Formats: sequence, structure tokens, C-alpha cells
Amino acid sequence: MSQYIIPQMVYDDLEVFKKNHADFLAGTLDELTFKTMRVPFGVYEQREANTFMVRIKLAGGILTPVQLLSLASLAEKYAHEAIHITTRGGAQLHYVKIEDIISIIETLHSIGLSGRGGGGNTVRNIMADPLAGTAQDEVFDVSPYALALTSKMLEQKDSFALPRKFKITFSGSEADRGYATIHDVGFIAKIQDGIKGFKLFTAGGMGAKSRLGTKLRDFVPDTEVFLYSQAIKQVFDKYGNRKNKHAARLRFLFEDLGLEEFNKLLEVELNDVRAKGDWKMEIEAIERTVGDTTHEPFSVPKNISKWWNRYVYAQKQAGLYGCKVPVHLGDIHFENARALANALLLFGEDVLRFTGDQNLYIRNLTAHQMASLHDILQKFSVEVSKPTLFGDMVACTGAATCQLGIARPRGAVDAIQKRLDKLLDTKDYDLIQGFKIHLSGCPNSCGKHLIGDLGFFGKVQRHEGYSYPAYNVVAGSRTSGDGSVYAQKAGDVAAFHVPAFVEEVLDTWLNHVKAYESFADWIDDGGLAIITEISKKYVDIPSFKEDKNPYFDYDAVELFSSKGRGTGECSAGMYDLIEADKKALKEALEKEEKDFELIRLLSARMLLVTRGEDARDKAGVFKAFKTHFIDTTLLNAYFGTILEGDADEKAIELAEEVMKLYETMDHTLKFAKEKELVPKEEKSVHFKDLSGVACPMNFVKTKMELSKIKSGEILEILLDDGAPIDNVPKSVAGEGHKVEATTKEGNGWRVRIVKK
Amino acid sequence: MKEFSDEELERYSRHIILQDVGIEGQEKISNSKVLVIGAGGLGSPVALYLAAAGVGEIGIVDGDVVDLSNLQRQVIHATADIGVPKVLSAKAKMEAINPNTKVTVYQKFLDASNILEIVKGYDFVIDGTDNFSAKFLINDACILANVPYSHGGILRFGGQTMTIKPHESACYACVFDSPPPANAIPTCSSAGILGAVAGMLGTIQAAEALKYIVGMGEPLYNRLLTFDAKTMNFRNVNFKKNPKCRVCGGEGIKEIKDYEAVVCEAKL
Repeated sequence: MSQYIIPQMVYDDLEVFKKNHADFLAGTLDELTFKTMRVPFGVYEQREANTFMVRIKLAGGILTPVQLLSLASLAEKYAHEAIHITTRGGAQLHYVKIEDIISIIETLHSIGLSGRGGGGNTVRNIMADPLAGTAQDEVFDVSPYALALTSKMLEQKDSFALPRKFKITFSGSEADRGYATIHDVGFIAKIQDGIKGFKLFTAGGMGAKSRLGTKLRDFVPDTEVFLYSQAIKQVFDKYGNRKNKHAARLRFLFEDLGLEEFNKLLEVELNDVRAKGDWKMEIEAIERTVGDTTHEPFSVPKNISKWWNRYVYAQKQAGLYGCKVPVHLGDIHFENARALANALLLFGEDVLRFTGDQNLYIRNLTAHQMASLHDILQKFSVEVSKPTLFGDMVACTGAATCQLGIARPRGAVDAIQKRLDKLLDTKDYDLIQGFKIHLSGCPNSCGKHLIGDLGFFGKVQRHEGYSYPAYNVVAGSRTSGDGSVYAQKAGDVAAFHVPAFVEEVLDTWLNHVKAYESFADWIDDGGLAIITEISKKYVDIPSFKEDKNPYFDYDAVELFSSKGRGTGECSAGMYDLIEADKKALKEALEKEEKDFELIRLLSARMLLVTRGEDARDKAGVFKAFKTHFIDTTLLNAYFGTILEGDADEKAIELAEEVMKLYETMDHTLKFAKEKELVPKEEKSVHFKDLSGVACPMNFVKTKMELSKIKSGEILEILLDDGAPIDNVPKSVAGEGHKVEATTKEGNGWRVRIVKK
Repeated sequence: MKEFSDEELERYSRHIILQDVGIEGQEKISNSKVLVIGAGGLGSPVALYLAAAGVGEIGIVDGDVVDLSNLQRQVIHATADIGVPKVLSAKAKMEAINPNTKVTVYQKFLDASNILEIVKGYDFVIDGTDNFSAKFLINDACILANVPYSHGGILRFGGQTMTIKPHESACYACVFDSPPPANAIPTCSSAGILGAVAGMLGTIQAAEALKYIVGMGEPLYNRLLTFDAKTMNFRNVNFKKNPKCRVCGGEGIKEIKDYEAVVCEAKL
């Protein structure tokens, strides 16, 4: 067995879907109904309207050369010629046209692949150690468990309507290359008293509020993998927070319950799963068919030795080799995929893996076979011919396309690579093979900065009133079955200086690398302080007048601004701004000769970001401050008078009052006083669900609702993503009403309006 | 507060989106009553647009029947309507466009004996008549009944219009005093009219009515808009209310009298 089993239900559903698809194309089925049909098949709309992507489950990243060949043909015919590897080691076809979807799904079914539960609040693609079945250090091959558990989970109806996504993974050894210690459910292979089983971790995860997984069981027999996964899922299903998307993942529930209470609830569900029967998992080992097992003598040819040393590794099976193929941003051109698949067809079935670092691994080849692939693989990416450092850089999409993004890490990666590329003749980055640089555009860890050696996540900094893109620097993560450690904060740098900063950190590490086992060891042994020192050189930028470049992010044509960003989890970026002003304000207050004007300005500006204001000049700051803090009675009217005329010592009173107010602010950016007002306010909150209502009727209906309420009362509406959220709040504000908050809710948005 | 149905919200969505109209403005439109005098070249577009706009109640006055020669410009009537009373032909089209609008028909010509009674019941009046005696009669009645109205007149390629708010803005008589002598104007049958010009002026009158009802913009008070479709020059001629106006000034008129009829045979 080298693939999971698609349950009959999926085939049955396809017949219904076909009919719906035809009706939709004929215009007799509405878009919304069709959406509810296509999503379960892993068909999602892309940012561009009427462009779709098809997500494909690859349990453990496993696929056969035949499947790769077939994906290559699909990519050529329907998907802008590329197969995309996802961050969970699955596959995606992008830019698919709606009329081609049935053909694609049918082809996928014919090669044993499905997109069921690819996205949304489902059991996501189950992962495995990229080296599973080949690693020298592994306890046993965990790949069959990823496949078998996928088959079982696909059969369960509750796998597809959870409070939030649910991620499961397997690691073959204590090195935890499958990241079991930071998953919702993570298994690490272990043999106890001669029985195969797993250490079981749960409730881990990255994201803005990250959590390292908790070891739930020291040993679970391998027959109980489904039992435990299903029971934990049932606890999550029953008790998870469905209201707040930002506190919905299992780790939040676990934090609320505590280990003891969680275990109690788990016992109940374990009994339930046992009572239902059929919970024992049958495991078949993956059959490895290797074309050529003769161990002919082999010496690495000189012309490929650099590549060989960087990317090829010796498997636990004597005479067999594996290889990592760095793939730029996870995209494989169909011609490369086809060439590789054709070559691999001769070498067996279990020779390929897609991995969560969006790369491709080749395995189970003899040295001669591996060497024969060299030329084909060179075409996969420019990174193939470079030190691993290049291909191991990870970046999320960032502010270029993501609502929550602050910075643009993909542009930063390009800039880093460009700079390092020029140094390849003078610096031996092969000495730091495996060094991981990870970047996220915001505190959410889509760029996995928490598990990089050197990690970055975007933030906003300010210089003389102008915002500029910057990054928090973190360093020294460890992954291990004994407990992982996330990278720790090391400093701040301007986005503009990231390439120079990286170069200097690498230079410094190159000087120490021989004395340490790992980068994390160096970090713990004084390296962190060194990096903090280095970062201080790269945080300041010239004034806006001197050089505007640092105020633009990479690949950005507009001046950097945090405006227009979605709220929600990313409020952390705002704290940076507030703290910057607070620090400056404190310094100004401590000075002997006080600059009252500056104190007054900083006091008025400090909390404006919490109200979505980005005023730059004094007049704008004062005006916004009056609107948001004086007129709302958050501060006494007296403090408004301090803003008038020339500044004097009264500015200090204002500063103290503002800082007091800040202390009462909670993580939802609400002040204590506002919360007191809430119960009264809630009474006059009116609500209208306008999801599914297209432009401009959603605006018309908003106006209708507004006409029914009194001035100052609040109307909350739900709007769809896309044109509705882009247009309606603007139009509402254009008519003089106040759009107080816009928050993501489900697939749409909740907009809070105060009637003028 | 009127609760619009989903059908109405969608039907009037392009009005409601307008910041100056909005729900409140559309509600005013839906509660308004407009009298259209004449179901001819001017009355046709006015009646169609006001019905489409959702005016609550529209009265339409005309004693004539549809004639083949009307169809070149009186776009509310169809070939099949020839011989049918104009008010009935118009009512059918208006109701087809918008069933929410109530249409009241007056199949008669207005004169001193009946005009005041009819005009009184409306919020706004459209003068879509084709002769001076009727225009002065309407002015007198609207001033007496204190109902604002839109004056409109067309000839050949030209048109003129003004909006009158009785006792506040200049009235028709403030500007023109009284009908011209019968022989001073071209005989209508020989003058002719470009059909589209009727549409141009009629839609301006409809817009003026809606502006007044909603209370938006600046109606054509104290100014006469004239245009020449041949050059497409539009002009605003400003006037002031005449304190000695025969109709609305000083003593003003106290009762309605018919003017000498100079009916245009071209039937604008």
C-alpha cells in the first residue's frame, strides 16, 4: 500500500457534484450553493474571481511516479503549467477554470488522490517525517501510519466540520522532523517492550499565540493511533471555541481546560470511540520495489560532488540514497515533473515525497540511479546549484496578498538571496549546511519563524512620524521529542537592512560553527547576545527627507503603511507602535528641560493606532485625538483644552492620563472605561446579515437598516469577502457614518457602523 | 418609517445608493403625489420617469385620444393605441413599468371650472401642455392653490423650463405676464417639433419634480433654462419675483378665469 483509500462516499458525492456543476455552468444554480458543493472536493476560489485552485491530499507527502506524471499532465493542461507543493506536503493546482474541474477531479480519483478536507475546518493533510522510511536515526517507518490514518479520517463525517483546522503528523525519531511537538496531534515513533507505538503530543501550534505541544502519553501502541486521534478530535469538536476564530484551535481549548480536565474529557471520548468499534488500525508496510539493488562500486563524479554533498544523503538501508530537491516557492514546472517522473518510473513506487517545507525528496535509489538524476534536478530551481541555505529560506506571502500581513517577506528573501549570491566565491556557506532562515510578514507564523535558526516576523516602526517596515528577529529554535523550543527574541531590524544583517549574522556564525554542535547551542552560549548587538546596528534608518527607500517595503510601489490591514490576530503590530511612542514619551518626561510640545504630541499620538488612525502631522494627530478620546468621553474634556494654543507643563498631565488609560487596555484594544459602556451600548446594537448579498444591494440594505435606527446607534452587518468588503464600508463612511470596526468572521467580515 | 420590501429595495436601489436620495428620499418619493397635465410630448417622458421612480400617486390629465401623428414624440403611446384615450394608454404603460405606483386618470381638458379642485390634491404639478392659455391657467391655479410646479414649453428645436414655488420664486406671469396675441406666434401646425426635444425637456421636468420632492439640489427657481438642440447650447436666464406681478404679486389674483384659447394644432 502506498496510497490512502478514498471512501465510497466521495465517489457518490462526485455524481451529485457533477450535476450541480452542470447546473452552475448553465446558470441555473447560484454561486453560493455551488460553493458549498465544490469546497468539500478541495476546490477553492483564488483571489482573482472565477479562478480556482484544487487542493490534493498527499498523506505523508507520499506520491508515486505515476501520480506525479498524471499531475504533470493536469498542470500542463489546466493549471498554468505548475504543480504547487503546499506547506503540509500536499499538492495544489492553481489558476484552474471552473469548467475543467470535473475532469481534474475524475483524473485525480483515477490515480487514487482526493482533495477531501484540504482546507477549511477539517482534518488537514496528515504529515510525516520527510525522511520516514529512510532515516538513519528512525525507530521505524511512520509513513504507513500517515496513510492508514488518512483513510480512516476520510471516513469520519466529523472530520469535516470542526471548530477550526486540525493537524496531525508523525515523526520517526526523537529528532522530530515531522514537528510532532508543535501539532494538534503529533506522534513520535517509539518501541516499548518490543511493541511498536508512539509518544503522543497534543495542543501544540504556531500562530500569533503559539504553544509547544504537551506530552499526553509516553506510549500509545500503534494499533491505537486512530483511537487517540479520533478521541482528541471529538473533544475538540465538542468543546472547541466555534465563536472566536482567533481562539479556536485545540491549543486554546487545552489552555482553558488544563491537562487534568482535558484528560478527563478525553477518557470519555476514548470510551466512546472504543464502544463504536472498528478503531484498531491495520498497518501494512509500504512495499519498496527497487529496480536495481546491486551495490556497484560508486564514486561521486567531480562535476556533481558539490550537489551530492549538499543534497544527497545515505539512507539507513545500505547502498540506498535519498536526496532533497529545493523547489523555488514550491512550484514545479510540469516539464520538470514529467522528466523526473519518467526517470523514476524505472526505479520503483516509493521514490518520492512532497514535504512541508515545500520541497521534494527523492528516495530509495542506488548511487548510480541518483547520480543519473543530477541533470534533470538542476532544472528544478536555481537553488539546486547553491548551498542549502538558499533553498531552505521560508517566507509567507506577506502583505503583498495577505490581509494580515505587515511586511513583505518574499521580497526580503529575494533581497537576501541576491546579497548572499554575490558572496558565494568568498564565503563557504556549505559549512552551515541546513541553516534555516524563516520569515513571516506578521506575528502569525505562516512563515514558520518560530522554528527557524534565524527567524523574522514583520512589525511597524516609526521614524519622525513616518512608518517603516521592520522585523522582529528571533533565533535558536530546537525541535526534539524531548520537547521543542521556539526561537527566542533577539532584536529588531529595519526591513531595509535585513540582507546586511543576515550577512553579518552568518559571518559571525561561520566563525563559531566549528565549536558548536548546533546553532541553537551557540545561541544559548552567548550567541543570542551577540545577535542582539548586531541587530542594533540595523534598526535605525535615515530620515524620510534623506532617503525614502527604507520607507518602502521590498517589491512595494507605495509608501509603507499599516493602514488597510485587517484587524484580528495581528493587533500585535499595533503594540509595537504604541510602545515606541510610549518609550519616547517616557524619555521626554525624564529630561531636565522638558519639550512640552513633544510630550503633548506623543501623548496625543500614542493610542491613535488603536482607533485605526495613522495621522502624521500635528494638526491631524490632535484632531483625531479629540475625536477618539475627548469626544467619546474616554478622557475628560479638560484634556482636550491642553491641545489648544502653545504647549506648557499641562502636557505632563495629559501624558500621565494617556498612560493610565493605556494600562486599562485589553488585548481587544478596548479600554476599561469602554467596557463599562458596553452593556448599555449592546442594547442599541442592531444587526443585519448581508452575507450572500451582492453589490450594490448589500449597500442598499445597509442604508435601509441605518434609516431605521437613531443617530449614534450601532449597526453591525456581515459582508462577504471581495467586492462587498472593499466597497460597502467605504460607501457607508462616504455618507458620513462611522465605520468603527471591521473584523474577519468566517469567510466574510463583520462591520460595525455608528449612525451619523 | 416605511419598510421597503426586498422587491422595492432592489427596484429603487440606484436611487437609494445616491447619498442625496437614500432611504429617506425614496420614502418621500413613494409618499408623493404628482399631477401631470398633458399626456403628450412632455407628459410622456415625465409620466414614465415618475412612475419608474416610484412616485406614490400620479394623476394624468388629457382629453385627447392617441393620433398617428403623436407617435413621433409621445413615446408613452404605441401604434396599437391609436384611437385610445391618451390617459388610458399612458396609465397602462406606467403600471407596466411600476405596479407600485397608483395612477389616477382625468380624461378631460382643464379649464377654470375644474382645474383648482384637481390641482389642490397634489404635491407637485407638471405643465406638459401645448398652448399658452393652458400654461397661464396652470400658473394661476398653482399660485392660488399654493402647489409648486414645473413649467415647460417646446417649439421646433428649442425648449424652455422653469420651476415655480408659489409666492417664493418668480411665477410664469412674473416672467411673461400674459399670453401673446394670437397672431404674434408661429402657427403651431407650421412650426413643427423635433421629437427628441420633447424627451429632453420632459426628462428635465421629471428631474425637477424629483428634486423638489426629495428636497435636494437647486430647482430651477427664479431662472428659465432654455436650450437649442441644433447647437446644444443651454442657457440659464435669471429672473426675480415681480412684486407687482399680475398673478402672484401684491394683490394677486383671487379667482380663476379662462384665457383666450390659442390651441396648437401640432399638439405638442
